Amino acid sequence: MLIAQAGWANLHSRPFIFLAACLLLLPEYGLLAQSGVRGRVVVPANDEFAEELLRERSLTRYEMHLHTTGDPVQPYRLSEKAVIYLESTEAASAAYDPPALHPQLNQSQMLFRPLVLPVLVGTTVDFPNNDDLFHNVFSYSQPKEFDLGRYPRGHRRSVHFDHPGVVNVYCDIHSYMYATILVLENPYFVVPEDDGGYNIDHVPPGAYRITFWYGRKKVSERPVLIEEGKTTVVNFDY
Amino acid sequence: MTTKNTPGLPSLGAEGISLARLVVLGLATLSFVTAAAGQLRLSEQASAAFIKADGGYSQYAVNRGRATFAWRLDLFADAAINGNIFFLSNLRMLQDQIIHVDLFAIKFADLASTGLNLEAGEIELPFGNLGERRFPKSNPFYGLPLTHEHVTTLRSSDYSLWPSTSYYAIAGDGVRILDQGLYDLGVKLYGGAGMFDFWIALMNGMVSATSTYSTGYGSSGLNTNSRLGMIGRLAMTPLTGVTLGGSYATGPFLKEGGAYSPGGGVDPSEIDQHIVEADLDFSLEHAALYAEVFYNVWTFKEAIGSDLNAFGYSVEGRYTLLPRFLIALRAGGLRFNDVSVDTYNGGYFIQHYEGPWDHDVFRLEGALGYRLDRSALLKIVYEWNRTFRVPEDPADNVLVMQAVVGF
Repeated sequence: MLIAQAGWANLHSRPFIFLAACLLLLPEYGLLAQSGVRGRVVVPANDEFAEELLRERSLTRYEMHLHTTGDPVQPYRLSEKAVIYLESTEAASAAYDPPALHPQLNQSQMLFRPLVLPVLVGTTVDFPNNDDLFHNVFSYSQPKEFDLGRYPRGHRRSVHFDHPGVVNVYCDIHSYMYATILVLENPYFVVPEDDGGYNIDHVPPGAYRITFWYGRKKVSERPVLIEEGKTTVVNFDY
Repeated sequence: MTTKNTPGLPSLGAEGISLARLVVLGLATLSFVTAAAGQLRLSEQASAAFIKADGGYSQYAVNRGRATFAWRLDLFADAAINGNIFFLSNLRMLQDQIIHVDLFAIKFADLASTGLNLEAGEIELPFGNLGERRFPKSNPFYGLPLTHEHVTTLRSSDYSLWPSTSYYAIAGDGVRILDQGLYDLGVKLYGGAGMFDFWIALMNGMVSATSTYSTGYGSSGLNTNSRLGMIGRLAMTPLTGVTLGGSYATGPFLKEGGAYSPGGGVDPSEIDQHIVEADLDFSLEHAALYAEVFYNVWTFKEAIGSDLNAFGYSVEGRYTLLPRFLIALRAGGLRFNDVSVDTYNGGYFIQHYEGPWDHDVFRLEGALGYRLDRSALLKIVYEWNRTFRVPEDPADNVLVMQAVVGF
C-alpha cells in the first residue's frame, strides 16, 4: 500500500532510492514492521491422514474399480492439513468482507482435498466432484447443515457459511471420507508453507488466542499479545 | 420380516456357542495384533427396535402380533494384511443372543496386477444388487426385500411341500428364494473393465439354501450334496449413477440324507435351483432407486410332476427431503405357479394336491428416517402385507420403530 502510494513510476526512475526504500520498509529492519505473528509448525514426517484414508478405502466392500482409480494418491501437503488462526479475546471484532473467489473443497480420488479448509465467515465454498463416481457431501455440524446430494464429475455445488465454527464434512457414500471447514470470524488465518513456516501479518494490535489445527483436531491453543509494529514468534510442535 | 430366527444365515446355536466365543476371541486377538500395526478396522452397527404386528396367522406377523422389542448387533472386523491381502468378517447377533458368522473371508486383491480379486471362505454371494442395504444403517426399512424374506412352503431338508397345510403354508417353514443376507462358503472371483464389473462364484449350497442353512437337519457348513452351486453376475455402469446388472445362479439345493425321498426315484442332487435376475440402480441428486426382478425354477418335474416356479420383483425409492430427513417407499411381490403333485400334507402320508405351491404375496413399505447424527438413524416403518389365493388374507401389517447407531 505504501509503495503504491509512493508511485511506481517515480520510484522506477530512481532505482537506488527505490532499493533503499524497500530495505527500510522490510519488517526485519523494524522501521515499518507489520503487527502480526509468525513461526513454524513441526509435524510428523509421514502423512498419517492419507495413509489411514487409503487403508479405509482399500477395505471398502461395495465399490468397484478401487484399484483402478488412476494416478497414485499424493500425500496431503502440510498446507492441506494444517491451519494457524487467531481469535480475538476482546470485544466484538470488526466485520470483514468475504473473498469474491470461492474456495474449493475438492472430491478427488475418493478423498477430500484439502483435509482442512479455513474460510472467513460469510464465504461461499464450492464442492466440485472430480471423480468418475458419485459422492454425497453432507454435514450435520451446528454452524451449517447441508446435504448436497449426488452429482457427476465436472459438476459442483456451493454452500454459504454464515456462522463461525467447525464444520465436519463427510460423504454419505464413502464413509471414510472426511474434511473439516473452519469458519473463522476474522481473516487472520493462514496455512503453513511446506517447510512449516507461517506468517500472519496486518493484525490489529490486541489480545488474541492463537490456535494450531492439524488434521481433525485442534492441537494447540495459547494466548498471544499482538503489539503495534511488532511480529510475535509462536512455534508449534505436534 | 419373519417370525423366525433368521434361519437363512449361518448360526452357531447352543451347541456352537463355544465356537462362537472362539471366533470372537480370535477376532479380539487379531485386533490386538493388527491394531498395533494400524491394519485393523473394527466397526459396529447396533440397533434397537419396537415391533407391533397385526395378530393374523402369517409368517409376517412378528411374534404372532404381540408387541415386542428387538435388537441387533453387526460387528465388522476387517484387516489389511498388506496392500493386496485382506481379511473380511461380519458377525451378527440378535436378541436371541446367538452369534451368526455371516462373512469370514480372505481377499486377495489385484491378483498379479490383473485387477482381478479373489475371495475365499464364507463369502457374500454376488447375486443381485442388495449391497450395503443389507445392514440397518443403510437400509431405510426394517427387513430386506421380500425375495430375501418370504419363507416358502418348500423345505430343503426333507424335500417336502406343505401347500395344503395352512400352518406350514402361510406361516412358512421352508427355504427363502434368496437366503436373506446371502452368504455361503465358497470362492468368488471378480473384477472390472471399463464400464463392466463381473463376478463368478462357486459355493457349497445355493442361493435359496446355503450350506449354512440351519433348519431341518441342522447345518455343518459343509457341502451337503455332490455338486457345487455356481453364480455369475455382470453389471454395467454406462453413466455415473446408473448401474444395470444381471445375475444367474444354478446348482443343487437339496440336502442329501434327508428324511424323505424327493420322489420319482430322483436323486436329490439332480434337483436344481435355477434363478435369473436383472437389476437397476439409479441415483441422482437426493433420490435413489433400486429395482430388481427375477425368475426362479426348482426342477422338481421328474420327482413330483411339476417344477416349482416363482416370479418376483422389488422396487425401492428413497429421497432425502432435507439434511437428516429421509423418506423411502418399497414395493415387492412374489407369484408362484400352480402344481399338480403328490406331496406330504403335514403328516406322514402322501396326498394329491393341485393349486399354487405357495401363496402370492405383495408388500408395500413406507419409511421415514431421521438422522440424529452422522452415525445415528431413527426410523419408523410400516409394512402393508397382502396374501392372495387364500380363503382369507391374514391381518399381518407391521409397524416398526428402530434406532440404529454405527460406531
